[in-house]
Amino acid sequence: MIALHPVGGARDEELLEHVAAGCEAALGELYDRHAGSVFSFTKRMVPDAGAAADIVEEVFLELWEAPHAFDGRLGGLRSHLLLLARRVTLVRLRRDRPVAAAGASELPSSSDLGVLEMALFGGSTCRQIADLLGITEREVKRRLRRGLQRVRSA
Amino acid sequence: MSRAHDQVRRNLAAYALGALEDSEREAIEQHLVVCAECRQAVARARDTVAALVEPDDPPPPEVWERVTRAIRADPQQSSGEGKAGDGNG
Repeated sequence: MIALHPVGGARDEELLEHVAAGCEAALGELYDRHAGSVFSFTKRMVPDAGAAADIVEEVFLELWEAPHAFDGRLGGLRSHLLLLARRVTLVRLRRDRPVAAAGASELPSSSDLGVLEMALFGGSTCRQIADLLGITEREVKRRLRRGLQRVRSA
Repeated sequence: MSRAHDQVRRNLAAYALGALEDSEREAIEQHLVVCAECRQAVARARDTVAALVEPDDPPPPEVWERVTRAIRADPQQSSGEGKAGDGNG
């Protein structure tokens, strides 16, 4: 199918403007670019691939409904979609099963990167991680900072 | 202002990960409205976090089909255009 807008080479921000104008092809291009990352992320958060796929669907529908919720000054669209996926996943997990996310139920490592993974894929807050590891929230935040620095410098 | 600035820097990684309590998150977002430097720092942190997620196989094709069905059922937004390579339209 031929799109009415030249979506292939457009930047994400430009495509979002088309999405806001109701262009399904622009959403399709963004889906092609980012759905794999969102799916990869949600599969780390929930054990069921079908549920992970449902979350991907919800994330892109939310992008369609509220494209201007994205603020490009605060990072790229991929990071926005992952945060969206995190929120959708946690809402579903709390609704369907009032326990921590799948990733958080695995044996956690208290290393900087282990704490980073608990926050990212386990869907845990600093407070929850602190309670789980028996350390202060301040220490959790310190480990998250160090973990992110290590990732950045790797 | 500088106190809020320091708070953002301490909480930057946690904020980028979405791991703060609502009250902390809201305080940071109030500061971000007025501080371009912190917005840039948040952007860097968020993009670093996003880079940790390696994309793998795309979701099953029916996921996009469900998205398009839902969109087309929405009379306010639908334009009737399909995704490139979409054989469903």
